[in-house]
Amino acid sequence: MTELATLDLDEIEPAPPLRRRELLFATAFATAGVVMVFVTLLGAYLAARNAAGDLWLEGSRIPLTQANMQMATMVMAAVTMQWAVYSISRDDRLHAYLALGVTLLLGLAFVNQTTFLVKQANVVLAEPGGGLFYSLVGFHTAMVVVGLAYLVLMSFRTLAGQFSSRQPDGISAPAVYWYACVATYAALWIVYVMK
Amino acid sequence: MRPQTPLERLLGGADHTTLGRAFVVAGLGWFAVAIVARLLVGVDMVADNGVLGGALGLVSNSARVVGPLGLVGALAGVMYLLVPLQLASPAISYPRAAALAFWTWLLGMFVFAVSVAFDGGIGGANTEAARLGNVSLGATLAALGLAAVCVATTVVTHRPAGMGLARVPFVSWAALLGSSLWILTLAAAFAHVVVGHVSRFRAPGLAENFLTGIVWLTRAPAVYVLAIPVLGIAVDVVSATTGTKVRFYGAAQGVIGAFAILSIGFWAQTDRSVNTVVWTLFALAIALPVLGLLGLLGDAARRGGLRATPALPLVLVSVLLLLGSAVAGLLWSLNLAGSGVLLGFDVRLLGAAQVTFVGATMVTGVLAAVFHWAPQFWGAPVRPGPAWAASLLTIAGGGLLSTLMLVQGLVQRNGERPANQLFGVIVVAAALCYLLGVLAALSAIRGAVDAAASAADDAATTDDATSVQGATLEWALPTPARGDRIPDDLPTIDSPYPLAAEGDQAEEVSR
Repeated sequence: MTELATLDLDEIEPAPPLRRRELLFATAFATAGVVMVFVTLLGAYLAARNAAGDLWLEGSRIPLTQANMQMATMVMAAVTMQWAVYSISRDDRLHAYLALGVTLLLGLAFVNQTTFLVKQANVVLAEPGGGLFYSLVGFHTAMVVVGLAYLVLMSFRTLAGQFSSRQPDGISAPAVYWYACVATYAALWIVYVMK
Repeated sequence: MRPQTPLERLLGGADHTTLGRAFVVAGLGWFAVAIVARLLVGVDMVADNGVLGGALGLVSNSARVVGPLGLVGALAGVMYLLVPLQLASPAISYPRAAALAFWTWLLGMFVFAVSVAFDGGIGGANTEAARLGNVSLGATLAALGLAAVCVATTVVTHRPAGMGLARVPFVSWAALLGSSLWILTLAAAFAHVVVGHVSRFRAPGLAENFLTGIVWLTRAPAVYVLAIPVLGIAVDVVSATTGTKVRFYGAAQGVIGAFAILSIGFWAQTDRSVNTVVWTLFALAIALPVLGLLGLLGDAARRGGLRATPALPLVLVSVLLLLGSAVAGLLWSLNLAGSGVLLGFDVRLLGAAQVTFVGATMVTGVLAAVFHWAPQFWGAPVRPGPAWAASLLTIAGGGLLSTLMLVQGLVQRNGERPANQLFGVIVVAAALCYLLGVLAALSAIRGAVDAAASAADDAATTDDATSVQGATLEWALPTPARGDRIPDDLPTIDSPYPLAAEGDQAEEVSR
């Protein structure tokens, strides 16, 4: 008989209880910081745009069809994210998996659409506003990519059965971050519209 | 199994006490580096720019970053260690992230110093080194933001049963407010690091990016964010040293909250935002919570018995120094009347005076914490000799240097530089005083560590007659503090002072 088989299960210390809301609060604090970076970048962009006048991105054209589709994608992703939160808090695991999968798919589609938009816009880094444009768009895309990585991690943990109606934070926390991604894109969309 | 050495615990573990100690010592070390830079600037003033030459701007601006960021790290260390202990939590939230924050901060500060050596840093002429300095500055800001996330989450989610936010000890309360605002403020500064790296990637552009995008962090109102945790340290130290409870607990929390609100400064990033009524109101109103806090501390001192400890003058001076910064804000506001140059003061120097005052607040606050909670930090009380020397030298150096910057801003008006060499001599004297104070503090810490090691098996370590005992939970824990040494039989939390004698609480604490 192996040594493992002789272990008395009563002697094994139970895992420490999970602190409910810890992940949620940590994510909320971190999200606040990330949103603050975006807001500051947006403020810098608007201030510089106001100062530059007609010279602002004069050699570039931002197609709005793409930006509008991205907005629609993010709105749909927000709905599916909330669907996942709703499902896990009711122990409806099948729908939670489905909702997480669709959210991930929409997020990937958004990143793909962003790369397409950036190529279409053809903004030159050296022109007035070029650096701020790329700072803003690049930072938001990085935000979404981090959100996707967070969702992938939490989706695997959900598949492993770590989250349920008793401990839904693993889905609620990335949802908070994801909604911030959607809200900040709404501001970025206005930038695309106004150039 | 062989127990881990302190070095092994630091390198391989994520114990909040080990990380906190390392943060404090390294933060004080970086602050000492910044003081040496100030010393060089003073010598250069005496020699009429014959020492630093063209590198004056580089050294001066870089010291203005290294000093505060080093002290923010030291304050983060105080919070790392004390906050979980005050909440009787065995760990900080996300200990691995907390460790990542410490190591990233340390590496970021080191790389920044290297970039300064290669004519980069802030204001250097070498583009590659300047970009390196910009990236390391961003890494440092991000690391401190992550540390703040861990601290804030700990206060919100690790409190024991019965300890609502209204009963949280003052260090933890100020840590919650301070770290929440650090997250936002440092993030706003980080955004400008991104802008600098993407769109102003030449050395002159990065220097301009610092002046237009990041320097707001070192002037009112944002600079006060850095000092918020010191207010909590001041209240807890005075309360424990005088043996009294803060009578109006909620009011004291409100005063710290008001200070935190008035230190929100990410809205005032541009020079245009300074010449406004709102900025003036913020610059002036910050004095009110400081005066309120001094009143509460005075009330506690009046009711209790004042015991002379090295920490007590440090915390009192730390709060008073904030008033000095408020005076600099007042003079700046007066100067802004009309077209913005009414009295011709050098506002760059007034801004530098504000960050110097707040830096002095931070360093005196950190030293007060590591002296007052020495049993938790180092395992034994600090030796009175070096601790008193550190206390008095730091107060003298910090007070003199800050006041000097203020006077210099008033005297050297309209771009002229009268009495520059005299100012240089005083800067040298103040910086030397400051430096000796920090070195004496490190010596006192070393003495406490040695004393704890030599008395490792002596139970009297925690019952030393000269040590101060507080009424908050950290005083009920074994010393030196370690995350895995939280006893099960802690008292029930039914007041902000769970260790106070029964009957004492209802009488003296009211909301």
